[in-house]
Amino acid sequence: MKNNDLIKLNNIIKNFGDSTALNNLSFSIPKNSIFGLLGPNGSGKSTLMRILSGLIIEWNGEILYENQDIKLNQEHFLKKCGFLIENPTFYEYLSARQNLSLLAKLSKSSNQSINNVLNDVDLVDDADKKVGDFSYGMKQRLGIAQAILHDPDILFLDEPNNGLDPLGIREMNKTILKLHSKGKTICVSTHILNDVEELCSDVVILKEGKLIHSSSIEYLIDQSQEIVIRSKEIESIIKYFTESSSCKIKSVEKEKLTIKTELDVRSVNQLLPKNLEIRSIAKEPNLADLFK
Amino acid sequence: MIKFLIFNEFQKIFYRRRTYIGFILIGILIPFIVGAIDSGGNMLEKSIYGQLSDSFFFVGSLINGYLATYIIIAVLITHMPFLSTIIAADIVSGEYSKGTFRLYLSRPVSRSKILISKLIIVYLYTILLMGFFVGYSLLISVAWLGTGELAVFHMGLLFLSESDALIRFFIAFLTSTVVMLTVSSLCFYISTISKNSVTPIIITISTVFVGTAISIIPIEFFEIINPYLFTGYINSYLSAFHDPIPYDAILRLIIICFIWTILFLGLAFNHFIKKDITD
Repeated sequence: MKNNDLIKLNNIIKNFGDSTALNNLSFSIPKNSIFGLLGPNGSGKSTLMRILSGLIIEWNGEILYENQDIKLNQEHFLKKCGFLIENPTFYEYLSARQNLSLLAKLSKSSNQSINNVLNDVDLVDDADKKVGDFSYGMKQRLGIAQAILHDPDILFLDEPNNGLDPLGIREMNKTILKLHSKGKTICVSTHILNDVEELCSDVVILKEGKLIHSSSIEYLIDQSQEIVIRSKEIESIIKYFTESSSCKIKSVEKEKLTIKTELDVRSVNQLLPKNLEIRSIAKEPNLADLFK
Repeated sequence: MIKFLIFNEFQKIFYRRRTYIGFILIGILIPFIVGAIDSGGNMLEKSIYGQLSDSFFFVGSLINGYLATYIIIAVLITHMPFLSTIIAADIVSGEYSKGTFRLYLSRPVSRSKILISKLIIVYLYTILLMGFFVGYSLLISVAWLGTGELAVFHMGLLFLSESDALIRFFIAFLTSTVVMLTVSSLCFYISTISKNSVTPIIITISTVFVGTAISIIPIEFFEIINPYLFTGYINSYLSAFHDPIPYDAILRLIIICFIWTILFLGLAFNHFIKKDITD
């Protein structure tokens, strides 16, 4: 375990009957990071979140929090964590404040902390409305509020932007960044790649319950970059790359050519004759390929 | 911590309309029955006296608040499992189906404490409902029809003293509540393994129905097993109106119900504590 690792997962295995949801998963979550847990649907992200939150009891492996096995002291671990697991669900016949009050008693949080978190997620004016009357975005924000109610050190957010409109996504990302700026370590599971680029400092990618990639976001983006050339003369440009051993054509669209290469933009530009009309040459990350 | 959990559970059921269904139904039905007994008193007396009126001359009326309460309990007791399980059926399964356990169980509280708090609320509700049923019946009946000796059938027509009628109703309340708590425990157990709140009610009521049928059907095998089934004691309140009161039979029913209750709760806790919440 490195010095800045807050949580370390070792050989996590979870089976549901004959199917394996998590297959020998090992990685670490650095302190003060926004850690991205990436993967397509069914890759095991939610199962892992449920294991961490104590919702799934039977699993194999070891999870260390500050070098202590969470199985041996789960109550302490849960005190330090806040969870938003999938779509937030509440007692819809109770108000937002009453819902938070129920949960506050479990973590011995004060009434003042209820007001504070309602303020943090901008729900003060709606605090006494029944949650059943809330919009999806409001429920999602209330979900964040309940997760931070006891001022945890680590937040686990499972698909926090799922189902939100673009404005809602922007608000949610802003909230996540604000919480991170307050010193919280945040683990976000998502299959939306834009979220990863905007939020995360470190990432792991899961596929079919296995770890397929683990690195910083900079490294991941660098590894996954492609060069995109936009021009009206795509047909003429193609031939310069078909003959090149250092560049590989990935896709050709009407006025867009995507190539995979180790070269930088400038070197690619030098491969092309000056008389061709090129609208733009730029590096663009393509994290989607990592899911394949 | 447990008191906070109990308060939470209380708050959850307090704000739900279905909590009050049983009380509202009893509240409406009992004055209606007492009124009917009052207006049809002569017919009721005739059916109680039966052929005795050919040999004896009766002075005064048998119809009073105590008899009305006795009749009300006799008529409604077999329906009480429907009402007493309303909360038990939903208290755990409802949290699975709505997904609220995702919030609740990811807090630093042990699952056994959470289940204990839910069980306490189920038991309080059952006791309160049974108390309301017997107490409200007595209150309305006595206020409407007054008091008097209680005439019941037990090995013939039996007249019980007015002075110990309240004690007998209290014993009837205790015995029927013990059985109803066992019924609630069964429903509570089914609630921990079910993902909807209808299944626990259906299974519990079916069990009571089949068990009651077993206690009625005169087959030797059923007669052997019946004393060991809690369902055979649904009408055990009647023993409070025997003379003398058979305390040994009441003790036996308490022991049988206690054993079944422990079994149901053991299964419930064992299942709930190990259960993966995947919904």
